[in-house]
Amino acid sequence: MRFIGFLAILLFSCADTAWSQSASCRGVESRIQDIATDVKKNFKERDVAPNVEYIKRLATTCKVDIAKFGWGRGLFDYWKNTGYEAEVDKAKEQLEQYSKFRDVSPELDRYKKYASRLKVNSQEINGYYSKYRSQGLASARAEEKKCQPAVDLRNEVLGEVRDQDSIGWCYAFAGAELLTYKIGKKVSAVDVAMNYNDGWFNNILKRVGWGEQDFAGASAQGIGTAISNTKEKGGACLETNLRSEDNGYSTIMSNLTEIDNIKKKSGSFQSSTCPSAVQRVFPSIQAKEFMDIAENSSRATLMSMLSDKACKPRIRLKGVEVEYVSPSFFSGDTADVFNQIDKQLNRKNILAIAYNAELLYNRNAKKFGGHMSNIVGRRFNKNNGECEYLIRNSWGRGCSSYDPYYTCEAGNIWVPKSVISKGVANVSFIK
Amino acid sequence: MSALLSSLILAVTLTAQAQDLTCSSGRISQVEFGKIKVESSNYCFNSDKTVLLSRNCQQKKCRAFEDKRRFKIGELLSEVGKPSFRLCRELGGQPEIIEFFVEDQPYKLDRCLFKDGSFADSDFLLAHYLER
Repeated sequence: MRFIGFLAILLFSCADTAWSQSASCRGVESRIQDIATDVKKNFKERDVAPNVEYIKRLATTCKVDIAKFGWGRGLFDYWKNTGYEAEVDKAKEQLEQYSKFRDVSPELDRYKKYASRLKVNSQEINGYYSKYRSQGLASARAEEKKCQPAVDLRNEVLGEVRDQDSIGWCYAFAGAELLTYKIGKKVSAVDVAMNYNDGWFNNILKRVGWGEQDFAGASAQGIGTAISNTKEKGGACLETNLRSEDNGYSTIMSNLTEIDNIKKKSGSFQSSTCPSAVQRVFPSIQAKEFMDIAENSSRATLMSMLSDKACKPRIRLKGVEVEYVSPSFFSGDTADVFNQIDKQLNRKNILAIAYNAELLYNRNAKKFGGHMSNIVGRRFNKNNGECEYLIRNSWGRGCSSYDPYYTCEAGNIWVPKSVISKGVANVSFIK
Repeated sequence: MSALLSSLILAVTLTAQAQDLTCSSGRISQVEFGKIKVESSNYCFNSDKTVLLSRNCQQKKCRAFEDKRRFKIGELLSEVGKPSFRLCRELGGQPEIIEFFVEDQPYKLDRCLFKDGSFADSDFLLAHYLER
């Protein structure tokens, strides 16, 4: 009886194997081509050996002659070796960078694995390995000391992270947070942006078909200009008087354009209702007040007068000065930048940072430039052995898409110093 | 046999994903013309309320996840605000900053709203469409 049972299982598994083999060979040529397309796209960037081996296995199992794809015999090895070389280059680049801040065992293991596959001589591999191993361990010990004490400056006034919506006004949000922290009241980011773009009201008159992108973005020192202009205008405007985020179905910029168009089209205002764009941006301004301002302003002064009205009374910013620190122009060394970050955090002051936002999504990204946020904390993370800074972003509370290596807390992201040091353009703070 | 095994793994994964989310009927509000506009809705959210999906998007089988394209972050990071809003528009959705309520407690987030009424918070959408 037991023998019959064994026979049945054997028969079933043989039939299943034959069935699955014929099934898995169906459409095999197009599958091979699909996988090869992926390999060709990536073999200069990363290890593609698993896919190459899979192609080989499919071709052997299903008896496909690879010559029909125009592939020579050495092609598979070429794809694989080029991928290994890319991995070695990547590992070396990361070792150079990260060994200045932390233990680099994972990168060393990767280097060793791919260098061995490329048949690099073992003496060279071991020499390289031990050099960066000891450098990484020494850095890790030093960084753990420097990273003390833990600091977290999030507070009730700052509240939840902001959401800058679709406009490139990150500098205004980062600047508004510096002011908010300084004066203890929530400051309007839109007002900071308007003050930075003070020439905007004149520019708009000259342009036809302009878009948000014409006014988005700021120089790396935009925060200083924006805060200095805000100070000259009489001080900070409170968020309750000029909202930065709640613009319903519109963006703040499209609302401002709409307001400008209203003025452009009408010499005078007869309607007794406040235009919807004005209601969205300046909810505290009543219809009658808007009519008065509209009648007594030019296109160049309308927006400015509306914001002045909405922002009354402004909070004076006496003695507020912004200071910057950048990496060394010649060597790119970031020691001064991190010394200043630590100094400010130790005296419980937050900072703004201009950096490459691509690093938020990929800690190994290489590009430079583009975004500003705030730094509001520091900690030593024992799990990964890294000193981390708390980046308070202005892209809302979402945490789904950032590099999973980071810890994200409702839009605040703990990013290692080893990563920030690659992409920092400058840091700024209120003295 | 292997197909059966794959289906089993998929089912377990979907169950695990579903367990991470809580679904309920509730309210979504946003500010329009300086006034709060409230709508009733069915949605799912995670424990720290940083993920929000319309109930019909729970298994990613809704308009929001139909697009076959994938995006590199560099394509979405220009000087134009937050990248997930740009993605939302690329996909034909309407980005909105909203608050959703769980047991009368408001949670500020955003959503990318599609014409069929389905929605997902824009960061969850970005994680789905991002080519890493």
